[in-house]
Amino acid sequence: MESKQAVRQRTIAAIPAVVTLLCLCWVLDGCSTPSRVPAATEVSLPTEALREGSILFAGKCSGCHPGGRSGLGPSIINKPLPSALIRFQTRAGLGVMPAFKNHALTDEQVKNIATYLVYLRKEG
Amino acid sequence: MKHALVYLLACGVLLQGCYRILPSNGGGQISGNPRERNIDPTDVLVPEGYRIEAVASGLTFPTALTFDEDGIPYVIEAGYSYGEVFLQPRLLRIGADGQTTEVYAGAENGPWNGVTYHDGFFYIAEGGQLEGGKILRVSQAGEAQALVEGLPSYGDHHTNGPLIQEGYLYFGQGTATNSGVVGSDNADFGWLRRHPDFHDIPCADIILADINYTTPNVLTDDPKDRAVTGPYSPYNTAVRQGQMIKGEVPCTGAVLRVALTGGEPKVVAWGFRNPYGLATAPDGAIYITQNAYDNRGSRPVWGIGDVLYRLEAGKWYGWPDYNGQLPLAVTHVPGEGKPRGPLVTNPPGDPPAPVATFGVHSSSNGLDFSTNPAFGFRGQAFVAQFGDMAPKVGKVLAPVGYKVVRVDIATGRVEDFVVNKGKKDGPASWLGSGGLERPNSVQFTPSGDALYIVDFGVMTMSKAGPTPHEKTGVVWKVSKQ
Repeated sequence: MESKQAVRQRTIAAIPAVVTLLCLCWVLDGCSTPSRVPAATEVSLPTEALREGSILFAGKCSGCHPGGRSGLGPSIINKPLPSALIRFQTRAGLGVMPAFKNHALTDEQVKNIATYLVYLRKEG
Repeated sequence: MKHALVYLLACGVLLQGCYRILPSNGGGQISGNPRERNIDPTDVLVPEGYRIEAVASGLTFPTALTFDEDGIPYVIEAGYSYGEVFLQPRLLRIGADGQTTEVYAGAENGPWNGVTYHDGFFYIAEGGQLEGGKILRVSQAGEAQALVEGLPSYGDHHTNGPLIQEGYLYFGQGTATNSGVVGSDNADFGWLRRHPDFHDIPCADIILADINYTTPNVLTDDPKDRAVTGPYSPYNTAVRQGQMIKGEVPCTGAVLRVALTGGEPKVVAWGFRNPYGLATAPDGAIYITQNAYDNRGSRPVWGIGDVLYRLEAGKWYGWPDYNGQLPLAVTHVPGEGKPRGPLVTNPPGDPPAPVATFGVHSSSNGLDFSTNPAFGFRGQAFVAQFGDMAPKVGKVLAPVGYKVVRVDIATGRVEDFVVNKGKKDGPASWLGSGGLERPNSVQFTPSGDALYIVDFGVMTMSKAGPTPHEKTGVVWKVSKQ
């Protein structure tokens, strides 16, 4: 089993790669997300995490990324980002995007937003 | 660890710089001059089981629609558009064949922003860019009188609504400015040179901080001349710490009401920026859309989305220091820092939380509620999004709005309801299609079986400002198949 120190070192070592990937995704933002056919009835999300994530997304994220797509900011559902990277970017902020610290969102809430974004990308 | 942090910081700075140099890509930023409008409902996406059709076209700056007791639709043409186009506003009856008949033509004092029908009369919110805002009462025979006049509407935002409930007419009164301070952006709108003394008016006494803004003086020819302007004050008038601004009625940034029998308007709630759409939910509560701050003028604000509020009588909703419950002090403008403030040192209360947030610069305007289970989504709010006016209101990376969305008012979730086909949201003129341009309001039929969308038409944008295109407005109808 790895020691805490080793895990910490590995995490730190991964940060440049993570940031590089985020930069690449930003640059590749020219890729667009086609319009979806609007739902004819209220869509019932399959899990409580997705339901909470969708509500948090509506309040915290959709102003700059309406429906997850580009607007004031870039699209955030046209990139193959895993949940962990979405959570990292939400906590750390990036460029002009503000960081959502613990007083704004709990870890569970950040996780649920990331889960919802992954769902939007796949189901959208 | 130190290297990683430096790397992260460098990337953040780099990306912030990238954002600043990226060009704006708003839906109105198209080249050419689209004089003709192609109308093709098959270019519009609606939910399965619904259909959309155009029921009237060739309108000039249509903004709102209502129905009489026989279910006949009437549409208003604004008579004024951003871009300083002044025309005669008109109330038009829409026939079954889509042809329109003029019922009443008003004075060049637009924009007419809203209309409702009640007990044999049309009530029209007259924006009042030249003579001040009014609420007009117009008979079926085309005879008009002012129920309210002298409203402070010479500025950026005008008189909105109206909504009738229990013997009262409710209306919105927008603010003169973006965020409380008259500046060179107001000269760009056109009104500052017409009314150099006009400014925002609080509804109750407020006390100001010692915050003034120095800009080139756009009202003189000397390029070295400077103007120093404080909030709630005429252009080039400074304020001092602790200065009180006396509240007055009528004021700006408020929802007011007046008895249908007449009298003076009274404040219902204030601290709004531009309370545009008003509608009654099935439970009787009034909901309001608010156009939020722009990234322009002496006190620019970045990253603030339009909102939907439930109206609470007596409340102060936070303008010019909050958007919803978010203090502007925690926001920032990329490359410029935080807006100075708060401007008001004795805030009249804690602003209520919004019910929902819309896209930044989406210009979420008119709204209505579904009441008929056969149409679907009963109890949800439907909101028309005019679409961004970038780059004048600030930069966007892609068009925002240009569609009709629905809001679950219990959760705040916003979903598309009517949107153009395409790889991105945008007006038909930007997408090269025959779909929606700029939906400005929505109205359900009296039975609630269909939703009408009033589409303002083509408005192109450049750094010089907006160019609205006459005779490009359309009324759409969405119904169940």
